[in-house]
Amino acid sequence: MLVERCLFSLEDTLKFGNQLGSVLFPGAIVLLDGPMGAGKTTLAKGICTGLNVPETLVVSPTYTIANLYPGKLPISHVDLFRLEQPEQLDDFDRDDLLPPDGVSLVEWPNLIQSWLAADEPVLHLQIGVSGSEIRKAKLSSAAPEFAEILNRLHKLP
Amino acid sequence: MNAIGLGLDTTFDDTSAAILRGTREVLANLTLSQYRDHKEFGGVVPERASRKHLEVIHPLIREALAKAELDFADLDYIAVSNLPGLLGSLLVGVTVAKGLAWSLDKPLIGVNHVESHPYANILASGPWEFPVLHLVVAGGHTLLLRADGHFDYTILGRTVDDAAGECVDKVAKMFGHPMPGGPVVDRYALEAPDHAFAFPRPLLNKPGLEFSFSGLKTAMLRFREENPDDARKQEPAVLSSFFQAVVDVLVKKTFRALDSEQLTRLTVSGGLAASQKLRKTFESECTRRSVELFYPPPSLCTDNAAMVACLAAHRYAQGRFDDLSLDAFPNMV
Repeated sequence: MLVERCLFSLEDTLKFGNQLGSVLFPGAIVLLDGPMGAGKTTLAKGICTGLNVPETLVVSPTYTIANLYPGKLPISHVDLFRLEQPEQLDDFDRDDLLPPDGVSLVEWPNLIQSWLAADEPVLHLQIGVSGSEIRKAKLSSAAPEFAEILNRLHKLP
Repeated sequence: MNAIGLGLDTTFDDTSAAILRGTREVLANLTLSQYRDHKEFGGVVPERASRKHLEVIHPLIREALAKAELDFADLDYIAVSNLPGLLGSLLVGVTVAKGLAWSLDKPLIGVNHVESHPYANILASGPWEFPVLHLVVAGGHTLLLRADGHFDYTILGRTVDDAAGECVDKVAKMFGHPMPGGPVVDRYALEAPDHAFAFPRPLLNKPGLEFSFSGLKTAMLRFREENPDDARKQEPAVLSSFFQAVVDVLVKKTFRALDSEQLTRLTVSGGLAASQKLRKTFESECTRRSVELFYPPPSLCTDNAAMVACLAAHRYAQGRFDDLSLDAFPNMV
């Protein structure tokens, strides 16, 4: 199932992220894809507020590679912008970046695909900018765990 | 008191070991940069970071001791950055420091890497009096701290999204420059017109001391898309004007903090502080407003273990040590 949402402002992006975050479950992996400046970190902020993390705690993990936030569930906020080759992931422990009992949000997720099996609870969230302020978010997942969530998000205003 | 300390820093991409006597006498300060050492990979290769730290840290410590003409037995304490940073990288430094502290039976001191940046100023120009305002502009952090004593802080402002240094690096990359892009942007900032283009100064018109640089990054992206000719033909002026926006935000927020806190002393530190443009702007503004400025040379702005040892020397003087359960943490707090 594919859900599309237009996000007309920063507040819109945060609110949408919050709606999504509030329904995420332990083990969920959200791949946040999109060009630089599209709003991936802003969306991650929104998702984290939906998991009861204060908005100001959520900042770009580009330099740290992974930020960990204590929320309703433990959240790992990953950013692979600085990694260029698949072997570069080898030094990381999978459970550190993608905690099995928490929620993982991965920006610049291209390289991490090699870690993910076909049956994992992965949500693809593509965000793009069109025109000035307006963003378009596209959500898709083949995982049964996300079917109901996508269905609900589809019906939300 | 002239205690001798070993400082270790493996927070991000560099491995650094330093030997400090007292609070200011740097006997050795050696840093291996992953940027330089990994040029052949086209820039920083963070995945290699922890492995590389592990390969070089022991030889680096021995080299530092040799340079200082000292032996392990001469050390009075072992200091190490244990936050914030890349967990795998941090653990290399923390584990080595624990091993040394245990085998030498010397105190272990865990240091917040970001908190240690201002201490580069003590190495460069001597101690400051309190209260003092610290502006830290490191790659991953932008922070305004009020200090009323050593280790007595109030966080006045920090970034709500991207750090200033990250914004500069990403915009430089957007224009085709390899990471880290700070030096090339700084060169343009000194040579090209800095008001040729008007770019936003995020949060400058709002009260408060929080920083935000993500909107400026997006504005640069849009500018490049909408004005491809300017972006190509006038790149130096575009990037110079962009950097002026970054400098404006940093300088104005810092003076807002000095005013509202009624402070007259300022330190600037962190990787982005290596910028000559930022230094010149702070120097002239501080002279104009009679603010006492502490600003380290570029070699002490980038990550180094001497600043870590310097902060630790102040902890040592207070007898504030850590035990061997010291852990590494990726986040600031």
